[in-house]
Amino acid sequence: MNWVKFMKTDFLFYKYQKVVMFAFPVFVILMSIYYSKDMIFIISYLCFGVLIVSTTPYCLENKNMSTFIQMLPGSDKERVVGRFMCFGTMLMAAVAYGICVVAAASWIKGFPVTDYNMYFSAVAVAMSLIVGSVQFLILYIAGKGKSTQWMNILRMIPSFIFFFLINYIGEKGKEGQVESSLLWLADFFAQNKSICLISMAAAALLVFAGCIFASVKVIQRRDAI
Amino acid sequence: MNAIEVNHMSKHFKDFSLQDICFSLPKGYIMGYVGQNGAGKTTSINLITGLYQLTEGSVLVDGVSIKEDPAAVKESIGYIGDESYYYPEFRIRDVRGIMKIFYKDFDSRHFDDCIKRWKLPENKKIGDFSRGMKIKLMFAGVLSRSTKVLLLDEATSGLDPVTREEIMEILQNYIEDGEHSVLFSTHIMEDLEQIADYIFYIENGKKVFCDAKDDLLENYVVVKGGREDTERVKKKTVIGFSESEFGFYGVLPVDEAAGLPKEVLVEKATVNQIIVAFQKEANKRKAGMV
Repeated sequence: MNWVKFMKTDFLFYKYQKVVMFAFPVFVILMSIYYSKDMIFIISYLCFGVLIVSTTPYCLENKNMSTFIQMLPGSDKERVVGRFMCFGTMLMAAVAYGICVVAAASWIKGFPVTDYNMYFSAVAVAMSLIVGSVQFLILYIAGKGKSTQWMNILRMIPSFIFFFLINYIGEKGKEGQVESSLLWLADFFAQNKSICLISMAAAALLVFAGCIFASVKVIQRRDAI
Repeated sequence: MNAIEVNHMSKHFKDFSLQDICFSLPKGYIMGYVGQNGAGKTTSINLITGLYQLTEGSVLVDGVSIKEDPAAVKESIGYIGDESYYYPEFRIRDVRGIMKIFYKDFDSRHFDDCIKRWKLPENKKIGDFSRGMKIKLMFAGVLSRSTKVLLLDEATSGLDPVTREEIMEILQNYIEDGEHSVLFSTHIMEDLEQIADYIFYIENGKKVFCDAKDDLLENYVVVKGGREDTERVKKKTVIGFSESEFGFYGVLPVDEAAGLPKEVLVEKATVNQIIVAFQKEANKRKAGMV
């Protein structure tokens, strides 16, 4: 269970972003109230925040710091699993927070929560797990020693694409503006919600596990620092 | 059992190769690992710690191969680099926290004693520590758990003499029980003179010699003399030979010192003189002068 230790160590790096981590959820709520946004926006915005923040350890690690992490007793696999699980835990915490906010808003102010909102929010969570896992794998492939600008590009681009795409598709679907060629797909999703959700969750978990496996292989093939 | 056993350790990079390094460090001893910048000292240490992967060969630390059990090897190694490996935003409590998470045998009382003894500020960011403080904090970390071997990569360079003296004392206390060993790379020959039992000299990724310090001191002598004796001395295997308008200077294997003219001054060599002579010789070879 050394991966739990590595996960705890990774969490220490986020400690120094506590202002961002506490301010961001509040900012999401304020934005949602101000712009009268729905559940999809709240959940996807929180997932977007996690996607950005969760890559922090990659950007903070220089050669010396990397030495410290590498010298802690454990295998490459445990180190990688710890980092992925840290991301997974943050994502689940953000989603749980988002659900609480939506539930409270719905109870207090009658915030509208439709089936479509819930369904598409679940898609957003699964998508963010996939995007985050692939992003982590890319960062492992990129390795250390890249410039800060390069690392920031690697961190930001997938997250922004995820956020804007999810919200764009979510809005389009809500307004019934689905391309005619994709209507059959929309109908299929509408009629088989449970199967689609379970498949989506399974696919996301599969990608998550696959990226862990691939990341371990990547780092085992090269020097640790 | 040896504390470290290195067999045919090799590592190939695009522009540098460490080739066929072999040595063993018995328990209870200190080995100085010396060579010029870029000779392969850090590469060797990184291979022993498992930070680099071996191209060929094997490394055993306390009888365990890092390939077979990386966690066990890393538990038995205490590594201190030439720069702090802690995240600069960390404070001492963060280091203590990580050590507690990872090492069951972490002795936080001993760690706190070290912090107090060395007057390390608890609430200051590590990034704001002086170099000496950072090194001491790394020592506090590795000395507060049960390691078998300390690996120091130029950890004493750039430190003030008092701190260096303290570190030498720490190292001597560390090996006192005969169960612990130290391998340290350095450019500071005084440190070697003071505490090393063995000296490993590396040049261009290759081992030049690995000897007990006392044997090394017995095996070489310094020769000095006037210009008139230069030619006669040159016929011998003088290492690091240099000439000036006043005469010559070099280091000679002791068995070649017999038969030198009486005018040639033969003195006991120091570790510094021997190592510098070997380095000069290597530089001459690089420059194509030999």
